[in-house]
Amino acid sequence: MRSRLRLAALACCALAALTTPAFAGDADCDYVEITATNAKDAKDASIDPELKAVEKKLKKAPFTAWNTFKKLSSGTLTLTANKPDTLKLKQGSSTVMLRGRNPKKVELTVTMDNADGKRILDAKPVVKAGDWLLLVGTNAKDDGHILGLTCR
Amino acid sequence: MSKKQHDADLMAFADGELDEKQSRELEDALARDSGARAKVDAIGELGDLLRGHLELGADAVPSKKFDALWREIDKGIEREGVAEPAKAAAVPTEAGGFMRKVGRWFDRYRGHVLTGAVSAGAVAALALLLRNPTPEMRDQQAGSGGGSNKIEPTLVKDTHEPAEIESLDTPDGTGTVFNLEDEDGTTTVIWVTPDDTVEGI
Repeated sequence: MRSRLRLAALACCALAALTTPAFAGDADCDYVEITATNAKDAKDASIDPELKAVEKKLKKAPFTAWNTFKKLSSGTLTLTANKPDTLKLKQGSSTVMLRGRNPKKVELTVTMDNADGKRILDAKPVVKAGDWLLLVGTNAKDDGHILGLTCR
Repeated sequence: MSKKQHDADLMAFADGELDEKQSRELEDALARDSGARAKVDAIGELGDLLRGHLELGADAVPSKKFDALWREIDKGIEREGVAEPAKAAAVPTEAGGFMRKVGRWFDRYRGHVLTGAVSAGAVAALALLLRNPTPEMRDQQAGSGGGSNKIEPTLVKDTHEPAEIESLDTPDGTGTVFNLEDEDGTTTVIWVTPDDTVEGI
C-alpha cells in the first residue's frame, strides 16, 4: 500500500512538472534595428540584403508605406531572468528584460527611447519562442524606425 | 359451531396455536368425542411427517451442492499449487526480453500503475483547469491623446498563436498592435505613432 502511494505521488509530481511551465532559465535573442524610408524614385527602393530574416514581413502592409529598408545595427544577446539588457542602437536606445519563460513562450519587458532620450514605448509582450516582435516608431517625416526582436 | 370451524379449531389445537382457555375447553370436548380425538391425532401425525420430509430435503440438497463446490475448490487449489512452482521455476529461464520484463512488472504492479495513472489523470485535469488561458490573438490599440496611454489586452480567436501583450504604455503617442502571418509563424507588431509628429525616434 505504501509503495502504491509512493508511485502515485511520483506520478503526480512528474505530471505536475510537465504541465507547469518552468519560468526560469535564459533566453537567446537576436535583434535588428532598421530604418525605413521612402525613396522618391521607385528604382532606388530596396531592402537591405542583411534583412533577409524579416524581409517577407517588410513587404507586407503596413510596412509597404515605405519602400526602402536599411539595417542600422544588429546583435545577439542572452537574457537572464529579471536582468534588463540595453541594446546598442544607432537611433535612441532600448532595453529588454526577460520576465520568465517556458519552452514555448518568452515573457519580456521591452522599452524604447527616442534619440532625445524620451520614452516612447514600454511593453510587456509574451512572445512565442522563435517568432518576431517588431517595434515600430515614426517621426515627423514619416520615416520609420523598426526594432526587430526574436527570442528562443 | 359449524363443522368447518370445528375442524379449524382442531388443527389449531394440534399445532398448539390455541390459548389456555380454548385448549382446556377443546380437551374436554375431545374426551367426549372419540372421532374428533382421532382427527387431532391424524393432524399431528401429518404435521410431523411433513416437517420431517422438509428437514430431510433441506439437508439433502445443500450437502450435494456443497460436495460439488468443495470438490471444485480442492481442484482449484491443487491446480494453483502445481502452477505456482512451475511459474517460479520458469522465471529465471525467461530472463531475456525487455518487453517481457516490462510485462511481468506490469502484471505484478498493475494495481500500483493504475493508482498512479488515475492520480496523474486527476493532476492533469487540475492543471488544465487552473492553467491560464492561452490567448490566440491580440489586437490592441492605445487611445490617442496626451499623456500616458495604457491599454488592456483583448483576446481575438485565431488559429495561430501570436504574442500576448500583457501591457503597453506609449507615453505621448498611440500604440497599435497587430499580427502578420507567414510561413515562419506570427510576427507581432507594436506600432507607435507620436501624438505630436514633430519628432519621432
